[in-house]
Amino acid sequence: MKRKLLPFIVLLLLTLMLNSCYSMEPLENLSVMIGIGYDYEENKDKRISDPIELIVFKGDREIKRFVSQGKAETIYNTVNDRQTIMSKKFLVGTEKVYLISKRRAEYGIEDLLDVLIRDNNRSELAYVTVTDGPVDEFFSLEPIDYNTSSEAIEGILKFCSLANFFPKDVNIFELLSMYNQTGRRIILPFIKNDNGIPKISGICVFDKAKLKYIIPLDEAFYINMLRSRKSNGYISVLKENNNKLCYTVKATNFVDVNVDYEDKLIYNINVTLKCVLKADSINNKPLSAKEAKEIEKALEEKVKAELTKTIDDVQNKYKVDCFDITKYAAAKFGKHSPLLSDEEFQRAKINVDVKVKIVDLGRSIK
Amino acid sequence: MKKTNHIITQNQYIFLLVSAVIGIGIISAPNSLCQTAEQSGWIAIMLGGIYPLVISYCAYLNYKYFGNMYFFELNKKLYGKIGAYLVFFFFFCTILFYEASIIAGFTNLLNSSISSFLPVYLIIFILTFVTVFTAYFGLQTVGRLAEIIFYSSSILFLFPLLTFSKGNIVNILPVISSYHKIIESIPSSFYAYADIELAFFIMPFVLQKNDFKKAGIKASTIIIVIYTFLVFTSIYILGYEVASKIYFTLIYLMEVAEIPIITDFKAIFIFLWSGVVFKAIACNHFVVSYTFSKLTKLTYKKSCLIVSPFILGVAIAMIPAHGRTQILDKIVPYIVPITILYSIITAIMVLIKGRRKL
Repeated sequence: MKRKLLPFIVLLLLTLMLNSCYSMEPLENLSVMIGIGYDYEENKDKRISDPIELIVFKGDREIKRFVSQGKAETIYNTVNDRQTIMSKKFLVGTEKVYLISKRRAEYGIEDLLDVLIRDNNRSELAYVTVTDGPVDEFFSLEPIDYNTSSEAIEGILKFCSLANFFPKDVNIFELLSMYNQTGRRIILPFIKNDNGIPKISGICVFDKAKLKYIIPLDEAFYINMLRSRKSNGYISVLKENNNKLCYTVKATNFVDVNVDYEDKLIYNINVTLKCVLKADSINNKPLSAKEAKEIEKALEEKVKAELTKTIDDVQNKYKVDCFDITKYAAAKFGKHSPLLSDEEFQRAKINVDVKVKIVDLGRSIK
Repeated sequence: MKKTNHIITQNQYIFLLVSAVIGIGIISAPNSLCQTAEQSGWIAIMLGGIYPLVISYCAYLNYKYFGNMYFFELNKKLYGKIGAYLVFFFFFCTILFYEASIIAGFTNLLNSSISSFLPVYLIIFILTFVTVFTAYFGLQTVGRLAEIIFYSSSILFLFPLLTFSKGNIVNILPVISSYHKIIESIPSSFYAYADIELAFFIMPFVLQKNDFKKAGIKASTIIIVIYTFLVFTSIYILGYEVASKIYFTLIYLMEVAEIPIITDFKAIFIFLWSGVVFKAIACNHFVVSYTFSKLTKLTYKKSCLIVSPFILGVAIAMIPAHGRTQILDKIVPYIVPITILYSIITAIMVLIKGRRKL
């Protein structure tokens, strides 16, 4: 009996002894990363500058934030620089947001994209965005509703899909998918410093790993409507240019894309908007089904006109696929097909069909 | 000393086969397949399923014509004494190599993810110690373990569904873009199914053999379905471009899973998956010790302990992940064809000699 028990005891002891965290530091000695920034400074020796926002634990219930600068030639060399002044150990994997400055994005982020694939410890669920101006400026903003400005920006990015048809969860996983998958390109939200408050002011369209265009939010609204799925946005139709007379709906978009080829690519995009009626000051009375149909029709006309205009703009002005529809051509004609180029996209005929379904008229029905 | 108990039931036979094959290879299978077969990788792994089907059918033929004859005696009858020793030596080396590669692969995974604080050699030592300890008590223990763990851990195979909503159907279209690439990648899918050779060795220990043919097919089907499902899911969610860049594809899928409260699901998944890997190593260790005991005429328990230093040595040689894949790429293209060739020749010999006997 004793002989049988011995191996069990040895195993138990082993698990006890080997499960503790050797060479690990207690919480007070750790600096918890909350946001990582990537910046680029021209005309300097050390061009790559990566500010990092950290949470610092200062004893009893006292949490402070702190921005640490690192300047060097490459991304990981900044750690060399930073550790010379840091009095705590780094903890990677807790970051919530990645900020890339506009200058850095214009310079290119190929190295960052490789690091994100290779490094095992990074968080795949951190949000990514491009900032106007230097990153440390955004980290040093005074947040109103959070402890750190990284968390505030994370919140903005997390909930931006509730309006303007922004796609859900643009995080590192999505960034890597957008960069690597055939027929897709990186499109990230663009954040501006609006008198001390970070604010989404448009979308950034990349060409491979370099920033190419920044599209303002007004135009981006209809681009977003085509490229996102099951996102939300508010659409209004005004009457006689009077801001008090309008139909307003909260719409959820469902997009279906078909591709064909006859001399040039033909995309047929069917947009279905499932809407909840929020305001109708034009009729201003309980509605019947017939009147609801009229509202649907008015909305359809408006959205279709806007979408056609946007598609025309994108094909002629920006000349790259901002709608994320080349992937459907890749799915139909093969991942190595020559039809996936930008030239083919400019030549392509894009038909859009809009269908508005009002699923809820609100409390005021006949 | 009491004789080691090797008797198993037919159900345990099925789960032993399943658990021997599904170990560490499944975590990186989407990666190696996507590199050649691109978005059709899941078709390649489905077609590669012919390998376990053939081997398990050959094991059935051995049973049909020669009854419960031990594999060593069967080889003696077919190829003579020296032939039998050669065959057993080949299988001893092969399975030892596979076992070491599973240990090394799992060590790499642990070291790079959840137990970076432990030195690599210590992880290898513990893995080997635990599995030798399990295999020491004979096939019956391993069989029971395989059955219990399969039932309790089969939900793990459904975990990738947590991220299913992030996928897109365009990632797997067009379903077939090049037949050439699919056929080219089938040999690399055979490695994923390695270790099914276990069927030859454990066949005589199965107690009741009603529907023995079905048992082999059942085991192979379970394996093929799990593999195809996981490779398909990986491609569906990540696209072949990302899947072919990340070696531990399944772990990456788990990292992406968004589960309330849990910040990093990866660690929990690896912890739960280690049970699956442990039993895979234990199954392998049984075969290694069994072949060794036949080769040297030592008892099973003694050989179980004697071979473990060899396994430690080979595993340590395969430690950096890139070194392991380099060795695998060099050796596996020889092992798999030889195994298939051997099984088919044996099946034909069994058919000829078995008919004469009848």
